[in-house]
Order: sequence, then C-alpha cells, then structure tokens
Amino acid sequence: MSIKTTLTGSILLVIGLLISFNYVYRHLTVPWIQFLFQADFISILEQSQNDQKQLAVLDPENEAAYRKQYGVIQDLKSHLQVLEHNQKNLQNTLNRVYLIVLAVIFSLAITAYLLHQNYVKQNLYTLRLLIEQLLDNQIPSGPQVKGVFKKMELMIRDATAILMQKNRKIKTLDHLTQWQESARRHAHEIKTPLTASRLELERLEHVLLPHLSEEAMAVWEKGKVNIINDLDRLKEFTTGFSSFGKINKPKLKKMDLAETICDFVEIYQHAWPNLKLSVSCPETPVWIQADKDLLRQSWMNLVQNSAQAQESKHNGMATFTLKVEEGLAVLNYKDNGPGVSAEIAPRIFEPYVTSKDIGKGMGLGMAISKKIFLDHQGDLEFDKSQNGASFQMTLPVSPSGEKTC
Amino acid sequence: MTLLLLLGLISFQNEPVMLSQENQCLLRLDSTFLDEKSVLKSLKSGLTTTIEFQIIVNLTNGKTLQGGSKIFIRYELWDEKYLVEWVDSMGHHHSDFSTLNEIKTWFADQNFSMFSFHEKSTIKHALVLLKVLPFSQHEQQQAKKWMSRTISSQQNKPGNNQSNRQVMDMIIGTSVKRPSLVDFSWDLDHPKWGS
Repeated sequence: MSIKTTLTGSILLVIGLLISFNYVYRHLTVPWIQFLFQADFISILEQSQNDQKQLAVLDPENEAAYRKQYGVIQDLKSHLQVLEHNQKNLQNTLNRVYLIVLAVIFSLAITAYLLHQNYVKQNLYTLRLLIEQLLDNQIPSGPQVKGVFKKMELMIRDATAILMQKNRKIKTLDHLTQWQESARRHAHEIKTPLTASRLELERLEHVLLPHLSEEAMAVWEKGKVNIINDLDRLKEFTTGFSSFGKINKPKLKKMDLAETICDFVEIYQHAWPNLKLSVSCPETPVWIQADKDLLRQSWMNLVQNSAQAQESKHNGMATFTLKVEEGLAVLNYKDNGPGVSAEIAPRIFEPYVTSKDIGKGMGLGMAISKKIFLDHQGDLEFDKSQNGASFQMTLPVSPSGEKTC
Repeated sequence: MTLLLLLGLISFQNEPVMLSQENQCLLRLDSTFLDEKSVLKSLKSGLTTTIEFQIIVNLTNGKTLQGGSKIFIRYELWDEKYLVEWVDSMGHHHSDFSTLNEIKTWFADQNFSMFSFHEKSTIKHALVLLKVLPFSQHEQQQAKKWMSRTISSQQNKPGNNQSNRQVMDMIIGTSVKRPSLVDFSWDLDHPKWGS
C-alpha cells in the first residue's frame, strides 16, 4: 500500500469525522445550549412574578387571575432552576454522548477502511496470481476479482496477449535470423568447392580427352553429364540458401496497399494458367510504410504454393481481401486448394519444412515471407480454421500525412 | 475548597442527639447547616428544599435497626411564607412559618421520630446521615417532562431531524438528577440517650 493512498484514506477519514462531529454538535448541542444558558431568563421571570403581585395589589378584584398567572410563571421558573442545578450533569452527559458517537464513527470508519484495504489486498493478490498464470501460459483459474479490479483484469489480459504476441514474433524473428545466418554460411561454404569442382572437371577433360579411346570417351561423356547435373542441382540449392540468407532489410516507402495489391493481381493474374487470382479492396487508400518488392516477393511465394498445390486442377482460385481493423491493414489470402496438412501446419513458417516432392522446393518460401512481414513490424499467420490454404497478413497503417522514411 | 467548607461545617455542626420516648427513637439535629449559603439560596428559591436524614443503629445483641425522616420546605412566594411538611415514623405533619429564623428555631427543637424501639439491648453504634436536596422528586419529574416536551416541539419544526428524539430523552433521563447541596454523616459510638 503506497503512502499516498494511506494518506488520502486518513485525510478522508478525518474529514468524515469532522463532518459527523459537526452534524452531532448542531443537532444535539444547540438545543441544549439554548436551555442551559438562560440565566437572565430566570430574573426576567422573577420580575414578571413581581409584576403580577403588584397588579394584584392595584386590582384586588382579579387577584385570583394574577395568582394563577403567577403560578404558571413559578412552574416555568422551577423547571429552569432544576435544569440550572443539573447544568454540569447535562454537559457531562452531552460530552459522553459526543465521545461515544465519535468513537462509534471512528470505529466504523477504521473498520470500513481496514475492510477496504483487505478487499484491495485480496484483489491485488488475485491479479498477481492471474498475471503469473498468464505469463506461464496457463489458463487462468482460482478466485475472481470484482468491481474496478475486473476492468484491471481485462486490461492485464489484453496487455499480456499483446506482450505474448510480440514475444512470439521476436522469437520467430530470432529463429529465422539464426537460420538465415546458417543458410548464408552454407551457401558460401558450398559455392567455393562447387566452382572449383567445375573448373577441375574442365581441366581433367582438357588433359584426358586426347588420350582416351572411343569406348573410354563414351564412359567419360556419360560420367561428365551426371556430374554436371549433380553440380547444377547443388548450385540450385546453394542459390536457394543464398537467397534466404540475403533477404534484404525493407526499404520503407509510403504506399497505398490497396493500389499495390490490385496492381500485383492485375500483373500476375495470367502467370499461372491453373489459378485465377482475384482481389477485394476498400475504396479509400490504405497507407502503409513498406518495401513494395519484398511484399510482392512474399505474395509470389503464397500464390506459387497455391498454384503448385493445384497443378492437376484447372479451376484453382486464390483471393486477396484487404480491410483495415484497429489501426492495422489486414490482408487475407485464401485459395480453394487442398490446404496444409495437419503435420506441416504447426511448423509451416520454419525453414526447410515442405510437403512438396524432393527437388520441387526447399521449403524456404513461407519462412522468407514470414520474415518479410516481421521486418515490416507486421505478421503473417496461418489460419487453420479455413478450408484450403488461408493466411492473414497484417501491417501497421501509417497516418496519411506521414513522410516517407 | 468544597472539602474545606465541608470540614468547616462539620466542625460547626453539632452532633445529633438521640432520645428515647415511649419506645420511640427520636433524633434532634442542630440547625446550623440551614445557614449554609447554598441551602439558604435553595430555601428562598421557591423550589421544595428536601432534607433527608437516616439513622442506622447497631445493637449490642447484633441486631440492626434503621429509620429516617424527610422534611420538605417550600417558600410560597405569593404569600411569602414557608410551608413545611415532614414525614417520620409517627406520620405526616405540616406547619407554616413566616421567617427562616422561625424554621431554624423549630428545627432545633423538633424531635423527629426514627423508629419504634422495643429492644432491651443497648446501642453499640449509630450512623446518622443528613442530606439536603435542592428540589423534590416531583419537581424533578415535572422539569424532565417539560424539557422533553419543549425539545420535541422544537424537533417537530420543519427541517429538523426527528431521529434525535430518543437520544434527547435518554440524555434528559440520565442527566436531570437531584444533586445534594450538603451532606453530613456522624458515627456515634455507644451514644447515650439525651434529654
């Protein structure tokens, strides 16, 4: 509990007590004071009695009436005299009542304050448990918080979800960066002996050819073709490694994502004969900061995968749908292909994970696409709830007046 | 200060005299305490000054006897005379006096009957208590009622909270008492009967 909170509570308590005391004083004390301090009133009554006696002397016929009036005044005077004798008692009793009332109010205030502190403490403890459970990726269980703490709980849940999403992104980015570095090194290590092997093969051919018989020549030619084919395949892999290892950092420029995706679909709609591309965009521009070439590369990867998965079909369809949600440009991609197998789905963005036949792809396309979106402070996620292959790409929307980086 | 005054009074106040007459224990008191300032003021106030005295007697045979008397003195302001009533074991009596001195004289000579006395045993110890109260029980009750009535009529005015009524009655009930003006007590060891 902070000192500020305790101080505020104490001040409110004191103010409450003072208001209560003032209320009690005004409603209990004032009437009593009116009775207790009427010393002059008694002397006035005595004077009035004397007047009645004088009147009786002057007007003997009405003496009975004056005497009666005298008696009434005497009764009132007697009451006041009795109270005068009890002035100290009355004051003491009043003081006791004040003290009791103050003690009761104080006790109630303290009790309420302590109960409130306990309530706050319990709810804070519950929130702490909730945070611990959320950070451990557990489903929150245990006691529920109430009142204003419920709002705090929702805020914590939202913040934790955002934090965990960011952590996942960072983890993925780190993971991909490690793979990238590894691929770059492998490409470098393979490229040098690959070039050397080609040169050595040419040198051998140059040295051996004049000395070979026709029969040996035939064997040599066959062997040479096989070696060159293997070296080409190796080169192809090395190029793949190299391209993955050399994904450029995005060169951000302000652009209208709606216009960019429409252009892409228009340009490439006939690139795959078995696949029909379509796009749905909002009418207003969706401004983002992005590298157009990298975005196109990632979209190419997605469409290429869809086309390859539907090679045997002639009515393949793939659709891009763009919308803006909570400050994010959300671009959904969906095809009507066989989708992603349950075995591959959890690892779909990991490098070298592919369902394609050997030699038809190294499984780097999705990893590269994921990296591209993460580098744009966005994300690329696979939506397994849909039929076919469905992906969601998100990018932060840039304010319309923001300058190009 | 009060203690000193009381000590002074006690020194001036003569011991009560116990008398025996026709199996009655009588008590005669000195009237000096009537000159005390607060008592004088009370006697002239128009309220009923009440003098209460009590005697507790321990006999040599182990028995205890008790008795007492009350005297009510009210100055009738219209008629300018003192109305005196007293109650003792012999019954209820009353008398009128014109001046305070007459009361003092009467009081000093008056033997108040405390209790009937048939024992052969002698008195071992007697305790005599005297208390002067400024007003009677009836006046006390009337003042309480009047006060309660007045406050409640004030509480009934628009804008006032009625919830305080019970608190007020409680405060009146516990606060309006009969505080004694003077108190005396005498411890008499083996008192002798006076004449």
